Amino acid sequence: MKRRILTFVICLAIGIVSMGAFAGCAKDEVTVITLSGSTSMTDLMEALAAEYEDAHPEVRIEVNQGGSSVGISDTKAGLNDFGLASKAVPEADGVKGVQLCLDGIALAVNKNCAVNEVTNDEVFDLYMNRTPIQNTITTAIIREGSSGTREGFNEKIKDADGKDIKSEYSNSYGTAGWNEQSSTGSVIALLQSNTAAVGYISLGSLLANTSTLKALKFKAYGADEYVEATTQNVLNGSYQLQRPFTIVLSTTHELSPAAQGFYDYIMSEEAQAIITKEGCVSTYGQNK
Amino acid sequence: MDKTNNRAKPQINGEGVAKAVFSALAAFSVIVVFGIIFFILYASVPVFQKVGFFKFIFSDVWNTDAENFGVLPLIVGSLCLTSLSVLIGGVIALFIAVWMVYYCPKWLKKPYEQLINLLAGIPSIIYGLFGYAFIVPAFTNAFNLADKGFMGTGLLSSTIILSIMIVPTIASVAKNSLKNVPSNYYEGALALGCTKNQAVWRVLVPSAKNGILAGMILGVGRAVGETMAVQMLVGGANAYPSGLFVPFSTLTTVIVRDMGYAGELHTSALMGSGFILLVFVLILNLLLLLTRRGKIAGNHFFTRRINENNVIEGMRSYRRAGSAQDVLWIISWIIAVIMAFILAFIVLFVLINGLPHLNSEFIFGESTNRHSSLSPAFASTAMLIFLALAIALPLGIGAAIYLNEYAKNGPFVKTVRIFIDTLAGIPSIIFGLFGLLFFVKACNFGYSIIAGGITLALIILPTVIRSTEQSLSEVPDSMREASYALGAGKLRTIFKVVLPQALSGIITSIILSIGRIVSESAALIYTAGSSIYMPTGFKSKGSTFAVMIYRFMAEGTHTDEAYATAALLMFIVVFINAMVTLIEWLFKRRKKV
Repeated sequence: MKRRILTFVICLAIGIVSMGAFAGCAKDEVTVITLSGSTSMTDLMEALAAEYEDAHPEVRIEVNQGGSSVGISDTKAGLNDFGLASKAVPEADGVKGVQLCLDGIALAVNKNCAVNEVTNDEVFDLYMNRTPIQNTITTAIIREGSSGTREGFNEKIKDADGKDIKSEYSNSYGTAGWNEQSSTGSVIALLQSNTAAVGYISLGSLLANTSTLKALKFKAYGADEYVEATTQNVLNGSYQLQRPFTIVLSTTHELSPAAQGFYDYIMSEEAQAIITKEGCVSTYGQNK
Repeated sequence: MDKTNNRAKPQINGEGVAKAVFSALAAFSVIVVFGIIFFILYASVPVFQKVGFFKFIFSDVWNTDAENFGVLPLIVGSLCLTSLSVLIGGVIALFIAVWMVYYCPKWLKKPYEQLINLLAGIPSIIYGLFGYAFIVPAFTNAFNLADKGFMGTGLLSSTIILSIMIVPTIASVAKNSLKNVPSNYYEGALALGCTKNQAVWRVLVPSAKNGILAGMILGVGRAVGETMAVQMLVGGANAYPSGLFVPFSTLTTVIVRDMGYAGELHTSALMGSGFILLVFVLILNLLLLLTRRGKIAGNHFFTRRINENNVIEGMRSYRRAGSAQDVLWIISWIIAVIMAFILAFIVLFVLINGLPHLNSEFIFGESTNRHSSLSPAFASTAMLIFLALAIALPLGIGAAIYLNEYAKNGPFVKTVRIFIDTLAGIPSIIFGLFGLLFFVKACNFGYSIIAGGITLALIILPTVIRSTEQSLSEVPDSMREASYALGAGKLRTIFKVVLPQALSGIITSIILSIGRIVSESAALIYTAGSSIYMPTGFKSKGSTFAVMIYRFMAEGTHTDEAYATAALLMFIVVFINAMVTLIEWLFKRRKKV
């Protein structure tokens, strides 16, 4: 009896181990396209990739997160096929940016939060000086230093003299000590359990979570009315908290044929339906 | 080594070579420890140079854009979190150890031991998930934190999770040293008129002082290096933990938070943070060494105390203190029961949230961008286990053979043992950083299963060595002598007689290692990378279940998948624990026959 159990155990162990050895010999005729960068763009790129993979089963697209600055540095170092950045990327140091679409930066709060609209000054005072917004929103959630959303937000939120957080306060919130999260998703998760917190996330991600979150109407610096965060308002420019989603290309290397195929697809008219469905603002025909 | 060769003069035959090989394998641990220290120090040199060593340690500004890096808040964060957790977890563990040894009804002993083992076996990422999904929102509601400007993350929630996690570590060491207290202490105390509770709390527990202290130090080591469980709970701000709910960071969590995007100097700063952690751990190991000096449960200490005290005075105080010890007895029962409930709650929480989402499509379906599944995790985990065992088993068994069969108690063996213990105490995040620097970058393997597997092999090496050595030492000498008498050489004796007898230890170590690999996450993120696709070979990336949980959690929008994976992982862990028990039971029965 015990011998039998022992044999069983040993067989099982050998089984697991050899499974590991053989798993190494799985199919490998597929081409892998690696993308890396902005976590705000992850959902969009995964949706585009899923659609593309359906039509091209020989291609696999890996979307790695990391933040916009990773998208740029990986492209420089040749670690990916192309990078993703949720901000404009000027042509420099061997990389250039091509705009994929526009995206709003939503000031997201829990659906049960009493606040509905905020001004630039209120947001600035909360983030920099911990002054509660309308005595209700007491906490802010921020993103890590490489986030394009953080940069976009910091460019648009200004102090009383009209100087923005990015250039005037070196992209940081001083000693306010906010909760720092390294992906859009974890900001969403925190907001879902807290009714007195605000966080900046991609408008597309917000629109995918409207059952639990809502976006605040925003009155920009020097503007006179509150503007709702919608894709139309992003497109016509009245909602000022916005930035482009950018594909980062190397200026020294050509794209591989497989990557070129996927690149052509996401820039095509066909892809615009998915871009719109994911809550982003298609600018097809205006850029390129 | 030259000396030994001279002494054994004529041999340059198989036996001599084998001895050289075995001693080299034993020395490997020393090399690994030095390698880790060297590489992490080397990688943190740029930040020490550019920022300045003292400014790096004593400044509290951490601004990645301005390239200012000061780790003082991180050090304070780590120290606060660790000391609070060890304080709470240590007290709980002490009560549990006492309860298990002296109060636990006989029929409950085995099951409760299993329960504590399971508590130790739950992967830290699952503790993290539990804390993040249950404790943080619960505190937010309970203390009405939303109105006060807090989120429920911070010192309190991370301390609670960490204290639960280190209970098994401390309890098992404390338990062993309590068991080692000679029974005549107990009988003597009873004979002097103590009640059972008085004897336990005034005589036996103080006698096991050294062992309990060693357990606490091990607990500190475990707590200070813990990464994945606390990284979602501390809040991640660059600030001092100035309140129970103020977000802060520790030396380990900052690495997970920033490593994904760090630039050159920033990476070096994170390595520097890892280096400081490593120094802490090395100091702890030294302390541990000191407590182990007085090996048998500190009984000389106790005898001295009896001599010093006036016996009658002592007797009277025992009597008077009776009620206090009875209270302790009740407390230890309460804590033991609460601990069982906590474990049951965590397991049920994960299963209830995870099982509904666990369907065959999610487990076995093909993993694509449309919906990721767990089938790649099966393959990656199996490949990692295969690779890690293929490397660690020969190394570990060879080293164990040297330590048990060849070594005499010289300085070389002592050093090797110290370094094996040190290796066992190094936190997995440090292994991860080392793997990143050495295997991923220096050896140019890239994020791959090879890099992950070799790193894991180093992590499980101490387990393999210890467990094998233990069972080798249990093989009676008469068997070796009989083999020699029949004319077998040493090598033949080892492989034909001794090793087969030690099979139980080797198999146990294999299963323990599998358990460790399955629940590892911090070391793998930086070596094996993370990917949703089926690995195509040992050079491709691969995520184990634990890493998948981390991935799902970090994405935030895939919480259901995280729960489902956690539920599956929980089953695997329970299965592995059952296997260990089964094997131990089997071999114990065989020994009795």
